[in-house]
Amino acid sequence: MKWHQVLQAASDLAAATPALANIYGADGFRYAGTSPYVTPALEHQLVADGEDELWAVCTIQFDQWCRTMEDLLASEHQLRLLFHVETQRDYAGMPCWSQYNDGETLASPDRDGAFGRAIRFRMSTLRERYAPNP
Amino acid sequence: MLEIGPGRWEGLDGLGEAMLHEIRGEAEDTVLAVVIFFSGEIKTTLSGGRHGRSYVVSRTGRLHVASAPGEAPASLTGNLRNSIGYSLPVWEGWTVSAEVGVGLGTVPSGGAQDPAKTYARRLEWGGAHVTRKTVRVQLADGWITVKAGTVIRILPRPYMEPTAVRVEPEIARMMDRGMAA
Repeated sequence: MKWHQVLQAASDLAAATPALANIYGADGFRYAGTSPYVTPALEHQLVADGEDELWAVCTIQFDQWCRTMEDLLASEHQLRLLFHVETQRDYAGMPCWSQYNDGETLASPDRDGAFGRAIRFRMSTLRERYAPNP
Repeated sequence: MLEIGPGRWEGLDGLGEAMLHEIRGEAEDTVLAVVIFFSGEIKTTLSGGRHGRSYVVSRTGRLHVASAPGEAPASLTGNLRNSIGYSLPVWEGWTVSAEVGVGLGTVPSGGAQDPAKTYARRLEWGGAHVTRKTVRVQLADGWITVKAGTVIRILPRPYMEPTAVRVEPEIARMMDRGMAA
């Protein structure tokens, strides 16, 4: 089981990125649904996780809630720079491959004034080795 | 210098084509088996009890327990589950493929909304919308009023992606077995 570490590392990395911090502010990063719906916010959540002989694969979703389309585009560009990479990277000491998976519009800006878009990344890390209880 | 352009090595080209012809049937059968298995697994994901908010269904008076955020959607009418289906394998050159998903199964009858065109993606991904008119909703412990103009945030109830991740190792095994046959 690695998804909790992957999720935490990905969220920390996003929050530590100046371009994203400028858009969302210090309080704008959180797990989805843990605070009332306000914009701007970058929310993250686990969507799926699996485990086979070698890999602990999980899919994480970022919900981007921005006040302008420009912010939304800059945010998504930055997230893809961080998490859509060709080679293995180190996330908090954990080697991990990450790839953009899919995206979806979350809100119509003419209705509630927010530009919302969700994007998913597939994160693949080596699975945990479980030792039997002594 | 040795030239290996197209048409020069007719014997090898011919051999390759003959081999691909040989496995064409197995490849098609394997892809069909995979999409049948996959669509069945999505329907399994969309079955069973949930742990979200409960409310009374006005049409039947029955108490319905909805899904909690992060859970797969609870089945109320069965329209979403029934609309899961698959397409038959199609060939493009030497590649065979088929599709699995919403809108490939049974279309709801009686004028009900087609989930593929309306709420299937919203459940998978979540979203936000503004309530256009004031509505009264009966929950298990009483009625609540949702005023027009209220922004409602819907958290995802993913069912496709968790199924895809869950069945991926088995699908890889099926493909290996199918090609080894």
